[in-house]
Amino acid sequence: MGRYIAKRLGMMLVLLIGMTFIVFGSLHLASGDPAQMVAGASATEEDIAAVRTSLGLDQPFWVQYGRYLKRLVTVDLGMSYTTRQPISQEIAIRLPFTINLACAAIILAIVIGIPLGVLTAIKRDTFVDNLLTTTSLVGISIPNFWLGTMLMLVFSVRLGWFPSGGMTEFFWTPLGLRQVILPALALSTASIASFMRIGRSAMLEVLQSDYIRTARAKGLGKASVIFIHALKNAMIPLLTQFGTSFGALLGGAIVTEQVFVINGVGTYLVNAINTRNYPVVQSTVLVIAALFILVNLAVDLTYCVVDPRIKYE
Amino acid sequence: MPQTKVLQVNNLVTAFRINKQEYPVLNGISFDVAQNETLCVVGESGCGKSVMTLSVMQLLPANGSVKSGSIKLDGQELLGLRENEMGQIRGNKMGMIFQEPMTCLNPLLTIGYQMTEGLRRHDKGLSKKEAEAAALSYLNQVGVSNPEARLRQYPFQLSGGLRQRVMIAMMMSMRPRLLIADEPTTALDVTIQKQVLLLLAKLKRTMNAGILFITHDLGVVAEIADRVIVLYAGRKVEEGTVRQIFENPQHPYTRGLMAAVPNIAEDTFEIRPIPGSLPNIMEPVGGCSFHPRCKEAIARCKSVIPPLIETSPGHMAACHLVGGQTA
Repeated sequence: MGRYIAKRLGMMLVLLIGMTFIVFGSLHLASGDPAQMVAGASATEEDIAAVRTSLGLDQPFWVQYGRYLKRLVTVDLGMSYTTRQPISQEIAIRLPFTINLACAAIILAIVIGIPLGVLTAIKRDTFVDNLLTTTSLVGISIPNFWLGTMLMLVFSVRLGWFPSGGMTEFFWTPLGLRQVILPALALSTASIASFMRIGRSAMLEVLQSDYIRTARAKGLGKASVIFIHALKNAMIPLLTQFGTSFGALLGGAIVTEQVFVINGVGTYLVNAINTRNYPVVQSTVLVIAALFILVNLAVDLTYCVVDPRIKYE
Repeated sequence: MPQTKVLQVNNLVTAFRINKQEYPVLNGISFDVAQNETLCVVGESGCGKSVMTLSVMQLLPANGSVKSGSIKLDGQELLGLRENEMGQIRGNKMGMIFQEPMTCLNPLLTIGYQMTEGLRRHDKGLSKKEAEAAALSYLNQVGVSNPEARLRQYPFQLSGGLRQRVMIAMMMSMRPRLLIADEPTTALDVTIQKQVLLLLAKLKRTMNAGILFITHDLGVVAEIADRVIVLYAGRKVEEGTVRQIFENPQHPYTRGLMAAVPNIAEDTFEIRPIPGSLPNIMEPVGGCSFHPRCKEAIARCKSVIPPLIETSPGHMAACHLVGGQTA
């Protein structure tokens, strides 16, 4: 087990290095001159050239990339071009809010999506099933920035139940809960629908298996057949969906944070892209990717808790 | 000797819905199982054996349903009971062992959990400790070595033979009046088969239960049956004691089944299958459903369904050629 985790972490390192190359390379190819953005609108050619030299932007690509990797080894994410603050500090302030939003969204997806999946599987081919399965398609297709705006319009502007934006506390405090509920709802609709659909198909398959018939032949009640015998076996595909959904939620959070004016890494990233703040873009993407990989590693390790047949050597 | 009937099935009709149309799979089957008796049901694949057992357990798949007839367990009518009332009877009064020991146990739950949950469901006062003790004693009875360790193991850690023993122990520990075994030895190798059959025979005697045993293997029938019914295309074509069936088979289908078993003692060791195959339930055959495959078929067989005729006490066959009533 320990060796397996070490191996996976090693693979993660390779993956992250590959990713830094792609992000670094694509930013290098992107239009716009960071030196000009830093120097300001009234800067002369000489000023811009001086800034370019001081940022090392006049060096060839490989030299720039090499310097960047060398700094990364010492866990130095560099300075933001615009604020001149260490990026690691700026991310440390913002990341908790993004995680707060993603966690709230995934909790919603689980507590709404899985029970609906179980329900539609039990009520297969009935009105309830058809209605929910069709609705889930809408849930998957609806863009979260539009849904977020609509939710805000109805529940904040019209009804005034929830604040229309901002996030200052985490979801387990009363204020934090009110702040997170609308963005989390907007963000999680696609995941709710995915959990429901995966849960439904996994349950349908499991409910037809021989051991379910055995459980019924023992005279067990409906609840123990469904929740003990069936749901446990349907957990593996749902766990996989958890990993995938978490990635989608991190991506979706970037847009949702914009809509709800949340000062998380998503807003940070979008602002950095707009100002050609390359070190910030690189670091933010790196942190989000590392988070995604770690969550999926945790998911893979959870498999063997659920299923005793799965062992990692 | 007068025997108490554990299971009485009368005129059972079960149908399956395929493409919005009902097709009968069992066409009015009657039989009974007495206490301390093993009734074997034989017939080729698809003749309705498993549907019969699932009808009795009321565990038919969603597109199957019992249309008419009566199923009585210890005198209590089961048809028409609500699902939660059936839940009180399944496991508790009738248990079932399935064909596939590899897939019939839940892969994610320990043997101990799966063995005790049924016990505790039917006896609410039973503590976890007591249920485990009961499970242990039954694992011992079915000859599972090191039962304490087995309780903490998962099905994947057990061989097929062991799993089937666990299954038997699990069902017998609830002390059912009737045990339904649907080809319980088919998936096992021959030496294990023999052990499982002996075990079932022993348990039947000690618990005074009735066994409804489904098989297509006549060797198994000879070994375990007290009485036999032969099914063909959803109808009972012959019934009798195991002696009557083996020594004096009346129905051409039964004789065909017997002849299909190769006899090593013969000089010409050959397999003589019954030509043709079972009729498709979606295209019913008029008259006796066996007539297209029957070498002895006469004109009447094509139009009239033969009734069951008692040829000697307890021995019945449904054929126009038995009982001297040739056309």
